Amino acid sequence: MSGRKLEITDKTLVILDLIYGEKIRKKIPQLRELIKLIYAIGSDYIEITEDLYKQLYPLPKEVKFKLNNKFIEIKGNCNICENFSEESLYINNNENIRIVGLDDIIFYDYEKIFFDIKKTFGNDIDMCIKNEYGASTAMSLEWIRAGGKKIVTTFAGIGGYTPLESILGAIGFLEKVKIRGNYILFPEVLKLFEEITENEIKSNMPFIGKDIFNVESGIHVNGIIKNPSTYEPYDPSKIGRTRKIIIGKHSGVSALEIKLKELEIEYKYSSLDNMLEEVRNISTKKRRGLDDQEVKEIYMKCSNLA
Amino acid sequence: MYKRININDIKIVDTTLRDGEQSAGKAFSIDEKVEIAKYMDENNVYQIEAGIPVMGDLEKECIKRILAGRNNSLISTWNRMNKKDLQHSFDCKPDIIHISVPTSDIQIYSNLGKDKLWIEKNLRECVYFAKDKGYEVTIGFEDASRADINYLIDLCKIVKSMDVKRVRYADTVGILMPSLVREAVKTIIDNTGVEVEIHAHNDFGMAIPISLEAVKSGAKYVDCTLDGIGERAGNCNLQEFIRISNVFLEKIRN
Repeated sequence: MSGRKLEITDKTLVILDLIYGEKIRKKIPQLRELIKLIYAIGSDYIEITEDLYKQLYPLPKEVKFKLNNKFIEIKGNCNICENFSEESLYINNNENIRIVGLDDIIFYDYEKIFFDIKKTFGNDIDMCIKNEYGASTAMSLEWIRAGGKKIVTTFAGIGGYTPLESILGAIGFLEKVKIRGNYILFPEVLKLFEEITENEIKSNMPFIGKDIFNVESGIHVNGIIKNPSTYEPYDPSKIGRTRKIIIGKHSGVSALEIKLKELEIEYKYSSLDNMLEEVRNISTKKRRGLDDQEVKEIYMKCSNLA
Repeated sequence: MYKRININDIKIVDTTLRDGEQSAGKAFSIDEKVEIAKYMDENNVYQIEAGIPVMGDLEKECIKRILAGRNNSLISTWNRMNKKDLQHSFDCKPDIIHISVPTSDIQIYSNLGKDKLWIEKNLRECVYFAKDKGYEVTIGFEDASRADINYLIDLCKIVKSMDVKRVRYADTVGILMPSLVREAVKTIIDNTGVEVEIHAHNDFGMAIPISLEAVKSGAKYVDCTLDGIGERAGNCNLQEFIRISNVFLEKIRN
């Protein structure tokens, strides 16, 4: 699909207005910043309610907006095409028609469904796939692979929509298509989004979770040291994160050595096995990974320095 | 008009205690692990991947307690492809011994510094070692989604000739999407007739649809973890997968 123009409309602002109403009107500067950031990471259009559009004036000049009340929504599931004949939809300009739903098409032959949709509505119909069955990202990508040109998202998938960051990530890292967005800003968007919604996003959420590049398992740390792509699907720095090695129950000797060097501790190679055993015991007891101080204490104990 | 699939049953392999716990910074106490296994067993989860025996005595003690307390689920242990790992598994006497085999060039050459001949030789030796003791063996194709499908077919033929019935197709770094997993699973089943278990990761937020599409394509087993915990963005979320696959099964039956 390289070289093909894809158009993403992000409706995070519409959903925030729907969910939080008056509450977010106390956060006007943050909302202006959020709009800029969502545009900067790669959304082509920001969809917004008319009321919020007025309240947020003056809006960032570089950003393109769409008002949400201008869309004609066709809501449906896998049978969406059955109610429309080609004639009834022979519309010269379907710029404002949007398909919303299709949560369940993962259960069926979605490629056939997309084929029928293209035949009935054209491949430049606005496609807004929802997430009741956890398949919105997958199905939006399959729509793009099937030739679809326009998709609709929200940041972190708020409101049950296709998550913007996952679509951007998949287009960039799986489909290897270069788009305008700057993914390094993902953590900044997350921070602002959490501030506005006063909700914390799960730490393992694809692309935006804080802990997705923490690594502990001995096998993985070992592989990553030799070549990061052994166990990382893409370079963490591309989304503004860094890899962090955690010492814990699943650590191996290599990870422990890296940590000891990082803490500037001179250790004997022969004592590493003992230390690792102790790391496993304490980590199992505490039911978590260990911090630097705890690793130091284990070193002292195993070297008879404590 | 789109309802043409005939699936009766999806067998869940819960790997909360193995791949789930591998999530960085996560460690269960032994009592917690036993409790989680008990919950899975009571809910008739087909198989519980209980841990990695070579990790040490604590882990082994835990696996033995899980085996002693179960009534319904099959209990398996996870092993790298070497005899030392297997020996520790034998100490636990699980129902199933799972052996993980690196299959992509990046894992074989760049990570292990070995070659495909080495893989095949060790695979045969390890399968024989466990089979000889009377164990049911399943094979895990690590990084299968980045491996050459023809190589996977060759490996399937080797293990099938040694009476292994099931292979795990692991999307180790979570890079599949539904249309890609469909091709892979169908190709393996059509060419070898082995049973396929899908092991998906959620790096691109697609672990559930990938698993579901694998089932639609003939996979009979699906690996899940509680809350989807696991390396990086996690694994296929058990509760969500059960909710969604129940809707799926209901819809295709109607």
